[in-house]
Amino acid sequence: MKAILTKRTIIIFSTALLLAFITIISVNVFNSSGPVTGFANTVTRPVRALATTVASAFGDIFSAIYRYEALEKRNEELVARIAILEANYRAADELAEENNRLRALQGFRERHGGYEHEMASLIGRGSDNFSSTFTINMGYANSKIERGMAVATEEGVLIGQVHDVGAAQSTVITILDTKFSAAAYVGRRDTGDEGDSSATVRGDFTYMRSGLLMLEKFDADLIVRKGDTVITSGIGGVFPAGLIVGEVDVVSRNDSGISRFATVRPLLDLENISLVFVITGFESTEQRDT
Amino acid sequence: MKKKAIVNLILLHALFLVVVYVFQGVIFPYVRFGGFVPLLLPVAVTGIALYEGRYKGGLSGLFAGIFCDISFNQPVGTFTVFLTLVGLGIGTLSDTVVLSGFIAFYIGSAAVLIVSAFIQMLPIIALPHSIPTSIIMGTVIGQTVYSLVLAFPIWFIVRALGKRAERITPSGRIV
Repeated sequence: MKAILTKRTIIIFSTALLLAFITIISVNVFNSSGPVTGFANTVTRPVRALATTVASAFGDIFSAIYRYEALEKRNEELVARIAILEANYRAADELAEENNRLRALQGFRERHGGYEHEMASLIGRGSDNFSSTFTINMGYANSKIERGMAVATEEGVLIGQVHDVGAAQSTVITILDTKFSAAAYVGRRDTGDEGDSSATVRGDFTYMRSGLLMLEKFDADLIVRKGDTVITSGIGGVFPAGLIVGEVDVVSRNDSGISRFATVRPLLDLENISLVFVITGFESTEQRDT
Repeated sequence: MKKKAIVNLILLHALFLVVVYVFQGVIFPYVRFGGFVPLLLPVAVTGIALYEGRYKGGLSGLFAGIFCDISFNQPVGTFTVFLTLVGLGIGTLSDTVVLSGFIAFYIGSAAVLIVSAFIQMLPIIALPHSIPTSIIMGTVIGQTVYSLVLAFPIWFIVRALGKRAERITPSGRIV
């Protein structure tokens, strides 16, 4: 035992413990990933940035080859959808009404033009198979980014939430991650209005690798159909109201058969995003109501 | 001459770990196979510890752990401590009872990868929503098998590094 616990062994292990201790203190007391993580990220950043550029280009090619079958299936689905749309086109009035309603739902940019935001580039993706994260090139030293802020695309599609802020880079959990949860509502209802029925949309590990998330806790009488739009409600003040999360994919009942849930497909392929907007300020639903 | 060789050896180990980090943390997240990203840094630490003993294994584990944590986009800590322990532990076994070789490397890598996957899944298990065990185990198995496939080329490299180190510093002391 004495031969195993030599001075060097103790020094090496103590160093690891010290680094972990510094991080634990930083995370819990200062709400930051800490100097060790910051230093490690800074040192590896040039390598990461260069490799990301190469990997991104290579990944696009690989992705196209690997997902050929999926794309083919998706293509067939889209062809079928076009046929349905052509049939619907004949009912022009109905389509116009539907169109107006969708425009109203998606026209959040006009309704919520007061967002303050910071533009950021994606510089890396997490390699953990149990979470869904990416890093952006903005931190507390070069922006107003803070933990918990919403991350969206230019079109206002919600893609994640800032989870950890470093000096010059931040970690974002995507909407697929199990730590993500937001108050939302289903945009398309029989009444046509936005409604006051709230639901919760959250990342679920069961669906994460399929690129889906889960909508739950909605009213029993709410009609939810495939293709309905899921939009943040702004309740709770964490996310601004009106950001599109995705479209309803499949509606199911849970194991007990009492309540329903739906899987939601993000509007964008989260694997192919390079530019994002962090919403650093917005008028919350409660503030607007008062 | 020997001093220069030792410096070169340290640089080679550092370069090896950086390259493994780039593959695990940057390249493979963009080219997922079956939706999985392989874990290569724990495999590299297992190999270095097995061929070069506890000190180099422990030091490699320390740095590989930091790389592993930042490749997961999480604060430095969990894997820094875990991989340091792996390096020291497997290195000690290698110094005392276990013979370094392909089978020992693969068994050691598989064990370390499974424990790594369980550490990774801890935050998921802590969630209030129940997740089917089959889904979690599917991810553990997928990640481990994929990593073990890619452990094969890593074995050649750690073996070559080990032989080079043996020629320069048979005692295992590099500093």
